[in-house]
Amino acid sequence: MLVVAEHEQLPVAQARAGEPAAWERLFRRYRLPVYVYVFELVHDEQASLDIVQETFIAATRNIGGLREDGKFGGWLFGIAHQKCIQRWRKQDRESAALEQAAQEPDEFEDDASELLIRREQEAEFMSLLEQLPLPHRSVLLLHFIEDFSLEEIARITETSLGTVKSRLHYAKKNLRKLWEEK
Amino acid sequence: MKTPREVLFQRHRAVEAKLDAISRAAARPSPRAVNFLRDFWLEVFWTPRRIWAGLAAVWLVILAANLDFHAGAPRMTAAVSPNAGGFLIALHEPEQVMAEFTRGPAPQKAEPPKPPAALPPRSARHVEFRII
Repeated sequence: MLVVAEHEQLPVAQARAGEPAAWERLFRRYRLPVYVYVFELVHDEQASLDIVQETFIAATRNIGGLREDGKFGGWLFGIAHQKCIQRWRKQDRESAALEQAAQEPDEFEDDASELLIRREQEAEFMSLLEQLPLPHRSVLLLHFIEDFSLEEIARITETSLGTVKSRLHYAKKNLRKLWEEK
Repeated sequence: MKTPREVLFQRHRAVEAKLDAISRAAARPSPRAVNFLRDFWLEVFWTPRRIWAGLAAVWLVILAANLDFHAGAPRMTAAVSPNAGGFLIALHEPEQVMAEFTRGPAPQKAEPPKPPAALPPRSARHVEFRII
């Protein structure tokens, strides 16, 4: 299992007090995860870098709105997610795809087994990931990158818990199906 | 064997230098005035830059049309110049007529104030009371 953000001692209180060193540490911790998440949604390096920068600037300005310091990671990913949606709305594409509601399964079955990828399968895995619908990919990335809980993913993507369960379920199912077909 | 997280991170390691620069810049916020100016620039000019470019193009067209109009103007004045004197007289004639009508009679010369009548000395004044 991954070591998730909530078990780390992050200097959120110091950052809230305006200490640049604390912000640097927080950004060093999250810069790559946030970038990976954004890039895998927008598929454009410069646009992804812009979104990461906008996200970090927004975080420094709006840290007062974060109620629980332990939720900093989810809060930061939530800002990044909103920035992606804003960009899509401006470009008037894919936003509908992200916002579309997925069908909910009767029962959610979480697959506890971790997906492990061999070196020769890495490119194939990335290709399959890109084939997933955007809402499914978004949820799966949050699960893979930071191992966020379903509740946290629901908060980040501003969707209901049921929708997140559904999307994660179908994302894993589709990924496995594509994997087996290859 | 790698986890999806490791695969994803490895794929984007090359961009870490750029991310480092972004992180350092964002961690050291600029003064409020600079933020305000940057936001103002972004909101008012940069984001709607296409609209501004369109407006600028419209103004350039108007300016060009205006310059063209003025370039043709001397020829027009030259064409009407023989009648310009008559036109000016015709323009000022109603004003003169109006001035004649509104001009009132010449003011009469005011009489100089008369000196006050000489009063007798107070002791020589005679006061009468009549009881009815």
